[in-house]
Amino acid sequence: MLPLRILFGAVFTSAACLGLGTRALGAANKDWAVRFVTGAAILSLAVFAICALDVAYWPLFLAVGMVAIWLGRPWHMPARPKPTGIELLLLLIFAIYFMVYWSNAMAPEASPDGATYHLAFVARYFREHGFHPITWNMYASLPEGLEMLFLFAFAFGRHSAAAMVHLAFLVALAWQMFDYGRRSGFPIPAACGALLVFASPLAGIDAASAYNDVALAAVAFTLFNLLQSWDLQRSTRLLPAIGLAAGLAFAIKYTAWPGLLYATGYVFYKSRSFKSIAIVSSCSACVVLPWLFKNWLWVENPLAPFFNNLFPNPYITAAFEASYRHDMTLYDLATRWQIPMQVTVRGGLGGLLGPVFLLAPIALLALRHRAGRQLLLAALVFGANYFSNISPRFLLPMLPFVALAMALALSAVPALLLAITLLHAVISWPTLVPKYAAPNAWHLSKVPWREALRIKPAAHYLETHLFYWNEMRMVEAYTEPGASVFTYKPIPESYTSRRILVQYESEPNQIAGRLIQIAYDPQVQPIWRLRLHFPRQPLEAIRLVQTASGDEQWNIHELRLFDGAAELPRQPSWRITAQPYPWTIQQAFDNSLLTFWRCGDTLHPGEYVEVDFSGTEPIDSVLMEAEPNQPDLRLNLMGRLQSGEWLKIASPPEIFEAAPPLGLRRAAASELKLRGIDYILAWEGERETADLRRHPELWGTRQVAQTKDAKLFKLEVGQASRPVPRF
Amino acid sequence: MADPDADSYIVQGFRDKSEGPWRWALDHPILRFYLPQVTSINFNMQFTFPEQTFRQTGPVTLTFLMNGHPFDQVRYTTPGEQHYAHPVPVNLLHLDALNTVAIEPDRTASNGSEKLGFVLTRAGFSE
Repeated sequence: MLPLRILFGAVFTSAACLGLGTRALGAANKDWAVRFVTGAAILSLAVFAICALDVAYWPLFLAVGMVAIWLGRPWHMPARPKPTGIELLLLLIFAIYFMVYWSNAMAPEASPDGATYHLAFVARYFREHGFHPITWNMYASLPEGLEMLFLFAFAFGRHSAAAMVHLAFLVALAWQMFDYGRRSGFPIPAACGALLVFASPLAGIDAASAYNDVALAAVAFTLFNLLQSWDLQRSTRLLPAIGLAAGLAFAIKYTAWPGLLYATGYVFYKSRSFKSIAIVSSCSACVVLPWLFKNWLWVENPLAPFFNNLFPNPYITAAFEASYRHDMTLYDLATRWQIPMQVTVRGGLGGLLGPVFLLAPIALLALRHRAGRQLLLAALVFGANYFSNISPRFLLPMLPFVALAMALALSAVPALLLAITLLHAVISWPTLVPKYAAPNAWHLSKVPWREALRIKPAAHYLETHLFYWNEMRMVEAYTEPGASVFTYKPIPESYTSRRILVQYESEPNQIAGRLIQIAYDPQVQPIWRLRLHFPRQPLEAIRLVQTASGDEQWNIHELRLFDGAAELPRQPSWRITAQPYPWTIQQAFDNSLLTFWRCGDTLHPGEYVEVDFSGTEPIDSVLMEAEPNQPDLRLNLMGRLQSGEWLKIASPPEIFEAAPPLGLRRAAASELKLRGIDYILAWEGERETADLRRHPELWGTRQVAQTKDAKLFKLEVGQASRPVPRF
Repeated sequence: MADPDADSYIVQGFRDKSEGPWRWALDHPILRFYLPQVTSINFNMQFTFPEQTFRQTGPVTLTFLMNGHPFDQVRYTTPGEQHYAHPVPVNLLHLDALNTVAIEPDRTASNGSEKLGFVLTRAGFSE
């Protein structure tokens, strides 16, 4: 039954896209693949609206899909010319690879990102019948244009149906590449170019998973295709589709934003018509703006999780963003000169395009053709952001253009082109890839047709193919519905209804992770004391201003103000603020040495903490209790006099160390519980949770289950110990 | 003892002031500490028997008392820097309250006006 549901979910979703695209384009474009992608933009938008209205139920999806298919009448495929012998040979290879991809897409979803977050949000939206704020996971703020289609398919066929919808985009892409070449007068090179992309090991596994890169490539090529068609026909009916395709590209991945400029710039350059620009822009905006608005509404940053300097928010800090961006630009490489081999042959950056793409520079020879220039311009547009994340997945949107340009460049020597294409098809075969790729390269490994048809049970396949499947099952079995589980490593959340809080995925999660470390690690415990003395005087406010630059973050566990030996009791009338991260400053005034404020950015002059007394307070010293890991920190103490004037009031600080505070482990467990965390998933060999695994009794936690690789602890102080089941 | 607030940990039996991050403990030194909820705890101490005074006293036995109850006794037979760490039975603790730790030397040296026990550098609890 499940295989039928999966097939229905995928086919029904694809048919709904096709129906909507057919109605939108009418006679202006009869290519099924262009219609499919255009309709995908409309269906994506419709599902967004459904989620926004909290009415994401399968009967509604069924009704919407049936209406969409009905709108696509009359249903017939235009006649195609009979394929030539070479085309038939290539078609056969396409068919063989398609079967490999089909079986993998229909098999239980086991991709890292697909199971961990793409489908985790889809499953959550379906479970909750719509959008609800997800502030604990930065990936939820990425645009989810494709995930809306996944949700539509998921409603009927769950995870695998979503992956198969993604595969439909690969088919649409390959077809469009061939069709474009045929219309442009180079059908065989175009078929070769399409096969270069279709058989690429990365394109294959990506398309067979609930990812979005291949879909973005298909949408990018559809945009290109539509622009080329519009340039020939100048049909106004194509303009909305151009806008929708550009908007959908952005709604699938932020990095496709140059597509918006490409679409509007191309149309304006060719037509000089502001009306045309208005049509394209407004249709793009219809797809783009809802995502920006959702982010602005829920995480205070329309472009979350990026540009946090421009849109400060409590969920992602500028410091984290800077380090994340830095990591993505080089991964573990020593130099960028390693990128070509890694992305084509070795696959150490998360997949490989295939060794023949080492020949990509020959695409430049296509510049002598008009089509070649158009293709390479589009490649530039959709490859412009590659160096912001050097994973080869980020090359996929430009790959079709490069592949076609390569094929076009080699079209003068057809035998060579065919030989290269056939070689690519051979060495991209799943069982041959490990012979030259890195051991950890992401690629398909077999044809799991029994798993696809569920002849073999899904659980065994997932256990052997999906990271941390057993830990996910443990969480599902030993925590109550709605529980929150903190972990330093992501688990396949799409298979559990529990809220998984991964340490790096939001600032509150990072703070929770820090609390765990502070509780046991003397290196980060708040033993540092910095006291600023000054002549006793009545002040209206004090401001501690940071004046240096450095790589660390300023942190304060407690800030205490004194009048002689007596500490000033904190008053409800005090107004406390901080920059650049004001949201947790009260943690520096809560009388708990465990909790802390940190400034959200690396050290920059001008960061400050301010206490306004709403009156005057006699005061002669300020004591900062903090972690010792901020050697570059330099502070000035300013005071606001009764005259309203700010003056520097303190001389250089007295710095000393205090004894490590006691009881931090139990305090941390209680604090995490207060913050809504019910369980901690602690991994074997993990430094951050080593103490918790060794001494759970000191933390007031109880181990409730364990796998070979992880232990699950419940945060409940004072619970009697019980036998621990193995899972 | 380098903590400017070190005085607040002293009940009795120490010299009033010291030049460096250490302080002379006399014949009946007592410290006090606030202890939160804990399930197991160690008392740690870093101290020195200076050679000059050790020549007078010879080997010294220190008796450690938690809230008046002895929990350990150690004999030191050589002068110089010493590190002491020992678990304290939880039933002797007053949790979420102030606790006293007395360190009683069985012999002290005399400089004419004071009975000198040992030189304390740091003391406290760890989990």
